[in-house]
Amino acid sequence: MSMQRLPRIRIDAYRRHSFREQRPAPTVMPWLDSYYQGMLAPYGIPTDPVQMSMGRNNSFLAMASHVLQELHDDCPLTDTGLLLMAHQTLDTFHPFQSTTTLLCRAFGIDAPAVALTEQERSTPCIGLTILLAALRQTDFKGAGLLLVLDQATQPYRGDWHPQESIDNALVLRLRAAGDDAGTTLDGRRFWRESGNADPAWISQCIYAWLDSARVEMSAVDVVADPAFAAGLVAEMPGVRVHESQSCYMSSADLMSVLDRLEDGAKNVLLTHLTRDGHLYLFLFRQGTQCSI
Amino acid sequence: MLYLNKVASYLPPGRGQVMEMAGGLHLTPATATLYQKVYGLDTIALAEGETLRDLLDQALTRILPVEDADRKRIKYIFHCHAAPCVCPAGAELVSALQRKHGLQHAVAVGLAQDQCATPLTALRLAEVLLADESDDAQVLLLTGEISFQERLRVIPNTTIIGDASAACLVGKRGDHNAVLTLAQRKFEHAAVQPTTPGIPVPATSYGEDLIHVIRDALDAVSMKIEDLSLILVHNVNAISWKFFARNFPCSPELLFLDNIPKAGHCFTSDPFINYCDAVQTGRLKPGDHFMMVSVGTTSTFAAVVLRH
Repeated sequence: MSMQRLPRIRIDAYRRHSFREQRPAPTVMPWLDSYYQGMLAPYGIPTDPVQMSMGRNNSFLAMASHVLQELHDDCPLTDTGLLLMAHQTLDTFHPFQSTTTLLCRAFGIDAPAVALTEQERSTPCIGLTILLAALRQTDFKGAGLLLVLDQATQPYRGDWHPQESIDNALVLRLRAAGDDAGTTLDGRRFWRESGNADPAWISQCIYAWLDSARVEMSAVDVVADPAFAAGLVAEMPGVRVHESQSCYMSSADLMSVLDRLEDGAKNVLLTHLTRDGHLYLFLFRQGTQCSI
Repeated sequence: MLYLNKVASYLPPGRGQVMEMAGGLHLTPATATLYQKVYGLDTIALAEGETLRDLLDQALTRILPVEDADRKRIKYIFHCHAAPCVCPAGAELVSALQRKHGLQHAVAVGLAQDQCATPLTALRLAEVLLADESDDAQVLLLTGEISFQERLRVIPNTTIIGDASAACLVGKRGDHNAVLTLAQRKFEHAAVQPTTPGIPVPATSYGEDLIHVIRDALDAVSMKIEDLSLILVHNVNAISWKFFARNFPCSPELLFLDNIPKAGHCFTSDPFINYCDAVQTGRLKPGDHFMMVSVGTTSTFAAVVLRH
């Protein structure tokens, strides 16, 4: 990814919804517990029915349909060229369901549609990376959709607490654009072998990249994981650093970015560091005509 | 253009006979006989005492270059699987293998939702990402799953699942296995199973949709099915492919069905397992055009035309 490269990528529209209400649990298939026992056993994790009972029970399909329908009401989705569905958690009550297939049928999407998994909160960053690369190709037709879904109803005790996590759905519709109008997006990934969250290295990467884009650091709001947000504040005095809220699971970073944009921030920098030392930076810039 | 630079596969040594497995899978003797005699499934590959990580490790060990500099050319790792999730959130699966094999520099991600067709449709994402990379950059497709529960082992009236893994290095440069086209479609009913249980005739819609996507692929490269030397099928069962040969029509000799009785349907790994065996047995010769076909149950049909 290169900051100067054309065409620019614009966020055409987005929708998000947090499903805070607890829904009744669906009828649990008799094989579900043994299925999860088999999945979890190699990792030494026992199933925990108590966890199942504490979630909000919103399925991926229900959440995705909600936000896509809202998007569809304003702009038909039939010109979608690629749909990526990123998620951190399991769709607990529907472990075999191809949600993307059902969504394509429901919304008339005739395009490749796959899910990105297994990278925790990094998964949406990988989705954005793929979409930026796809949309910059001259033969790519239509819009790119990034759908981020998570549900707190899980069959085991994880790093999150079901009652403190919120089932969440978010969709971004991206498109190649010839100008700076609206909200544009660009990204860059850095890597170093040590996966430690070293704020000094992160801030060096940020300064280097933003400098090449001729963006003043003072004009940027930074969204960062709580694990290194305080360190960034110390390394970059005077810079506005906002902690993302982990209750939104893999949507956390993007939820905070959208909050900042809705608050009127002109430039928002999403920072995300993986356990293996990959640092993702995505810059969201509000142009002269805000359209989203 | 993409090239499949290197392909490797791993079948664990454990084996089960369909007739002997029937009881544990709640199949009646009559049904087990149907699977064996009509569907052509006989021996199933089983990961006895091996975990999914072990299987993936075997595939990686078989494909990874020895030199560190060559490993650094791998920029992305796609772990393609049929089930939407194969491990709990936060599990150390591919990331642990990245550290073991010196691949931390690569971005790894799980790909799913096209079910068994996922590694073929992943080629489109590989092409997108490689366009931004240097000419010698590669994407590693990693496949592998274990049927850890009965529901995963049997697709009713259709197939019995085997355990296996495979890996494929995909690059922008190469001297064999040029990817000429990828056709993919999400059809209404991507299920092989017959509408009437017990009658071993694949669902009409499945047969028609399979023909449709294979025609899409051939049309895209202006080829006829006779121009292909081999079709590397997904090993779901023999009868559905025999129906395909009759209805397309094409010669049954075109279909590589060797592994259906030997291993069962090994989820996303079938195309690569079959490729390795086809090369080893001399069924593919330099310059041959061939096809990889896979279908994700209730999801996606995919067909890829390649030149060996």
